[in-house]
Amino acid sequence: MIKHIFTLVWNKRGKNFLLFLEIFLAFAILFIVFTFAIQAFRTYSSPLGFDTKDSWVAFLEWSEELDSTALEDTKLRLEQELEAKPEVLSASYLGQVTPFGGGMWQSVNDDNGFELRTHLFWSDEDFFETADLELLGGRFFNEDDQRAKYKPVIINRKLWEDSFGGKPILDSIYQIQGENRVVGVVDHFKYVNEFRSEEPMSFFLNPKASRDLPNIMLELAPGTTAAFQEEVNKTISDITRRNDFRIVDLDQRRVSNSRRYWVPLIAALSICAFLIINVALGLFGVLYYTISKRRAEIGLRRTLGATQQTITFQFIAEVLMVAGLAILLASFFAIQLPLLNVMNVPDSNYYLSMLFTSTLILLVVLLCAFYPSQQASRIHPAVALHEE
Amino acid sequence: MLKNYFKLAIKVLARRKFFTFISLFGISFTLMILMVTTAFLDNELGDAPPLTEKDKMVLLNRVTMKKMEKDTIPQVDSTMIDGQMRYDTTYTYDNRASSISTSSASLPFLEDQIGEVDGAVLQTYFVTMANFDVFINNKKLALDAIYSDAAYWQVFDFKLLEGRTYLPTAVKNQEQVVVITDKTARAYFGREKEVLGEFMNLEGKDYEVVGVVKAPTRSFDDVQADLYLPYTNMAGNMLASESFLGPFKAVFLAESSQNRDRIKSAIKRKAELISMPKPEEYNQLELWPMTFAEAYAKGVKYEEDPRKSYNIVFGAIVGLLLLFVLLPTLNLVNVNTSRILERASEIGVRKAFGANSGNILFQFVFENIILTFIGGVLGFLLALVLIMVINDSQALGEVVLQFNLSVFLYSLLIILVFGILSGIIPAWRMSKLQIANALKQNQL
Repeated sequence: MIKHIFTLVWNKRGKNFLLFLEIFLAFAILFIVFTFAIQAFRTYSSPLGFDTKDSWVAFLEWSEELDSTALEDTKLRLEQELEAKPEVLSASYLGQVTPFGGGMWQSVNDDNGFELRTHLFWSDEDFFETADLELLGGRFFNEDDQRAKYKPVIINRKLWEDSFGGKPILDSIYQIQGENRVVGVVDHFKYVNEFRSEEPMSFFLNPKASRDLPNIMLELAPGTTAAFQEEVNKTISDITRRNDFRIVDLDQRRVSNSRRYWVPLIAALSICAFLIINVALGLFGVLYYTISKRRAEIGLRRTLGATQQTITFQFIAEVLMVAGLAILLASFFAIQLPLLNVMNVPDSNYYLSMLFTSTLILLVVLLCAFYPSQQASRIHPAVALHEE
Repeated sequence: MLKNYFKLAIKVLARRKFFTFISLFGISFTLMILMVTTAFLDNELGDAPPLTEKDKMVLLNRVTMKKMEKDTIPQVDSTMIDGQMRYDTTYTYDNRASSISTSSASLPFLEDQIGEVDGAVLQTYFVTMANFDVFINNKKLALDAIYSDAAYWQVFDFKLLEGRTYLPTAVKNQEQVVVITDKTARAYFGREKEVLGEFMNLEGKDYEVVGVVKAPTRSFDDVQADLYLPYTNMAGNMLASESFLGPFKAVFLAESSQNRDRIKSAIKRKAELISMPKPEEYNQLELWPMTFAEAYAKGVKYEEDPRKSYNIVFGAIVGLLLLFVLLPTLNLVNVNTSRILERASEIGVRKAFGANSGNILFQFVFENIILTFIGGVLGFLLALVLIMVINDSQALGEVVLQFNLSVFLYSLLIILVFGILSGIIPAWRMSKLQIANALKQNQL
């Protein structure tokens, strides 16, 4: 049966070639776009691991002239005054690396005897509660950690699984800028961008008064308005005696950071949607025309006893054969991408994209072939033969 | 003759409405997308002010310092032999960068180490991406600022709406003056005109507005800002720095675009001669001077060598556009090929009365150009609507798309290519038709 259909298609290879080429090309374009889109959506929907709602980060500058005691006094006073406001639920100091702040600090080393790749993040002990991180095991930092023999560190699940194979890790020591003792593991922390997959993290503890923690994060009572920012602004400038700082709404920052990924993604997907509609319309037109040109053949088959269903089936099978061959050839090229590992995309995304593209194209072809085939099969044999 | 062809084309289009719809849909949407894309590219990469001189610019916005060390690099290969793991370690002795530091430059580095560059008629130093939070009527206004010298205004030709830009003396004397965009004037003062002499409070200091420029409508960092200040108003520690690294970028303007390479190589030569202040920390200096297009590409896809970024980004754009145009064209060819069969009898008659293949070919390509032209007009209107929607939704941030003459000319060219391409293959096939076959095939 399949062989027979193939012979029918092969005999008209000149006419079917354009159709073949078109489906091949459609596959190529859709495959590329879907691979990126699937990758983007999967990353986007992976959990953030912390709460950005009603959170602000103030990026502060601290005068070089303050000595360490003066700095400590000012920083502690600022935190106290901010926390005293009823709108502020909690406050914590952060290092230069902040959630959605654009800054990153990465380290790759083999000091532990194996390659350890991690992002570094500095904060005081309150950060984990201010940002609502979820603890998987162990504990967050506490006051005593400042005096511990080893620097305490909290890692995320990604680092735990990537570098330590998910084996029991609490109280283990590993090297990165000195020796660190793991006191806790948090679930997720996707802090660079919603569209950037989570990085392995190491969280370090610094004292609140440290010059290395210039920025302050505030968790606010739900429903706090932007007008409150002016009050915070005033408090900060009164205490730090500086004006060159900036307050950022974390939720807004998250959304605006994502926008430069959404725009091309939506543009690419709408272009694909248009291409599919375009190809579908064209296909429908061509099939309608070519199938109706084969009236004589239909008439003959009907006279020899073929039912309407077998005729419909034959035309659909022919078109599906062409589409299937095109998809097969295109898949052969597409599968080279995961096999050769051309781009930094997980293999499963390629396969998902291939599956998705093939299904979509077959569905479109089926839909476009169905109506003309059925229409043709309704031709009365006597009429068809008479015309000839 | 053409008039007859035209009449015929219209008749044929009206006869088969569904096919006409398919063709027009494909043509108009493809052209719409192409026109919006070219409008976007023209806006971002074209030479509208303030980047009229973009082809003469060489940008230097990154200084990379490396510590290169001779080091033994071990490479462990593990292989399974007879069910047992064997390790094979090889050692190579080579230079490797043990630490890399990269950032924009410091002012002393640009002034003292780079200084005058051979081939540059103008050079400017500036700092981008400074921010101010300003509060007006309980509302926060987040303003982006550029700190610059006076030459900045000669290199980038902003359209001055009111007043003037600041002079070298203003920069030297640390005058508290500011040039703002019309957008900022509207947001801060509530009006676009007559704001000269007004004061803006930034970080507790009052700056006098001396000029209003038209807000740039592109995303390029080196010009995109809400206000522009003399760089001497920055905190002192930002200006005087021991390090080579700092917040400053530089742009050098060549006499002509051919002279760009001279500036590039002059800068690279200088990089080799500069001695590193602390060779125990960093012992190698790398500078990557680049053209405007390279800098733009580098912002999209980061590679150390800007030329590589340029090749990747523009290669991808051209490749994707080609792929994108190819599909609708193929679709149209496909539709046209099957449609044109209908006209076999007509061709047969024309041939029988003495028309040659060239006549027939011309007629069908002409018909197709008419069709694409109608599609082009529709696509043009659709593109106008889409550009309006995009600008209204501010989906592209500060980028404002405009429809200008060059975009329209590009589009006309695209239309022509599209029409000829999708018409010529089916027409060529038909023009080869044997008269006898054509006449026999169909009853007249």
